[in-house]
Amino acid sequence: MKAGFRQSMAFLHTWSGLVLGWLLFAIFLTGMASYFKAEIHAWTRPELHVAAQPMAAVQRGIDWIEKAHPGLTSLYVTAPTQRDPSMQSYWQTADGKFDQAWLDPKTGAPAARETQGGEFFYRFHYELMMPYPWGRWLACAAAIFMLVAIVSGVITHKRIFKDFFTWRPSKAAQRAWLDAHNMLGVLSLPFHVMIAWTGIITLLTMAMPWPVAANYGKDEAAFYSDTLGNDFIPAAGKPAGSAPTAPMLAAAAKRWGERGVNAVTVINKGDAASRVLISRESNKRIGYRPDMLRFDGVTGASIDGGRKTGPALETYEVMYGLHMGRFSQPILRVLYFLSGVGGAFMVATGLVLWTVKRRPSPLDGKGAGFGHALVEGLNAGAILGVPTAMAGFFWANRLLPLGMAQRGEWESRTFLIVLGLMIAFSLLRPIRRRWVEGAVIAAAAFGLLPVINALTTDRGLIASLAAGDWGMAGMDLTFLGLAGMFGWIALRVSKAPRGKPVKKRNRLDIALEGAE
Amino acid sequence: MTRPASKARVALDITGRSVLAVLGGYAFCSLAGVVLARWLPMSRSEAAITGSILAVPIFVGAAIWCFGVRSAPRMWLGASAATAVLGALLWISLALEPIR
Repeated sequence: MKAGFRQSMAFLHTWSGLVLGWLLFAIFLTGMASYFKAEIHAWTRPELHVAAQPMAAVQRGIDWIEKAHPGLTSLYVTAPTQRDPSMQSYWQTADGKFDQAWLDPKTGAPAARETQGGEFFYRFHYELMMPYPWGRWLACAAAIFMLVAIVSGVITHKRIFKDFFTWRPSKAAQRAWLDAHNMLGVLSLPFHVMIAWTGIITLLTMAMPWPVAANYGKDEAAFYSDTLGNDFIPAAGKPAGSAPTAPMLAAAAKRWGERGVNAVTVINKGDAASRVLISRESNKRIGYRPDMLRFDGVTGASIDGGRKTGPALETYEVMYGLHMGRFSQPILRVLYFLSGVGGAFMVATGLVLWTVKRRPSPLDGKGAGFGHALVEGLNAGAILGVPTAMAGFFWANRLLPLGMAQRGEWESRTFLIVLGLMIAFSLLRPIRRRWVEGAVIAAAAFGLLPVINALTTDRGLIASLAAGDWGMAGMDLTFLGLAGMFGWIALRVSKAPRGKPVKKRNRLDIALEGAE
Repeated sequence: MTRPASKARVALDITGRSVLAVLGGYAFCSLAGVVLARWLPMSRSEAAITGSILAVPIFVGAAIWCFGVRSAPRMWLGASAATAVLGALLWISLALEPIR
């Protein structure tokens, strides 16, 4: 039925790419943003400033959480860094409920501007704003479809090395889109294979629990103690006092440096089996398991952790670490980001290529079918809508009133609202107009952000450049760069040669033509 | 078959391959991961992790195979054979040492 292995791989490549293409595009963009999660945390909380003494700030945070929630059973506070002044914190109250807040390093209390900050894009990337576990499963599916698309794409691409140097932008549109798609796909092929496989690795315990179950049966806890070591021990059920955390933080700072501490976790607080775990800033190794200092939560004495290790566990940790990119220093982080840009363009050109190829030619006179029109509209809606919605999130961050109830929720909702509006807009406009107008909207959405920033805060682009604040300035400059890119797209599409317009024909016309 | 396949036949073929690739692929790669976990000469945590990590490319390979194999009957036959082999390996390992 299907002649040839290559043809069937071409079919598989097209469909494994298209079915979850829009989703994959959104996952790529939010993933790229996540490499700068710290900078986004900083930009979205302009009231916060870099803490000069991170350990004192962490202690203030711990003090606030304990005072505001007496009887809590566990808490977690991250140290402020030079890239991100906020302190992300979680805690669990006696009734088992979790809560979280980002704390101001100066006071230890929650920051004035309630926002998810960079966490919004990070969580969207693997949870897609869906309840657990559906979003994660969908993200997993997108990753595995991407791997299938990669392998089938390589198989089907006959002259993969020769074609790498082929780009014919002036040829027929369809050929140019294909060349762009091929080039982008091949250019960072190793990155794409790595990022897709390691992406699934980060969700492995959810997606592939069977091998562990086969070896451990019901005793899942034994697997965790065989790998993570015995850090998260269950509560003993006996109440006990709590040793002060400040000396523990001081000990960690002495060992790793004042900015060497990543986070502190207190488990089983008020119980005899209480522990305090202090993790190290993890940018010294790829493997995603930081060094840890452990203390007895009751006596304050140091405990030996006894880290378990093994080749498979280390491989898992390195794969996890490669995806997270936490180890990457600035230049490498930018390369991660640019590879993500390439990937997003690869997905986008693939989506557009599919519709361009099937656009009705003026010569055969057939009008565009409903299905084709829908896909064309959704393409533009997704490709232009997702970035615009991301800009919308930042608009909400600056414009929503500080004291507003559920402010953080509303910022997240703004993303969905803008996305919905862009999709609706796209579906209603004619083919060419929607790309031009949509790109102009995206350009304006990003281009005006630095302006709104300067008007509503004291940390506009000029101020941050003058202060040497490259985190803040970098964000505003990136917004301007993105505005420029979308402006260029709008210009390019509006200037592209027009095919003859397809005349809409109804059944009567067709019947009459048949009779001629 | 020398006559061109009807639309319904093509649709059935593609649906069959897709269902086997996705659902069967997941089942097969999970089974492969389990067999690896139980048979690899490593500690049980190491073997379990190895099986889990390798399940990913095994899924991709299975999906590619589902679409690359020449005919649907051949596909179902091959899938059944491979599953039977893995199933036998799992059964033997369970007989040697039941899940603790």
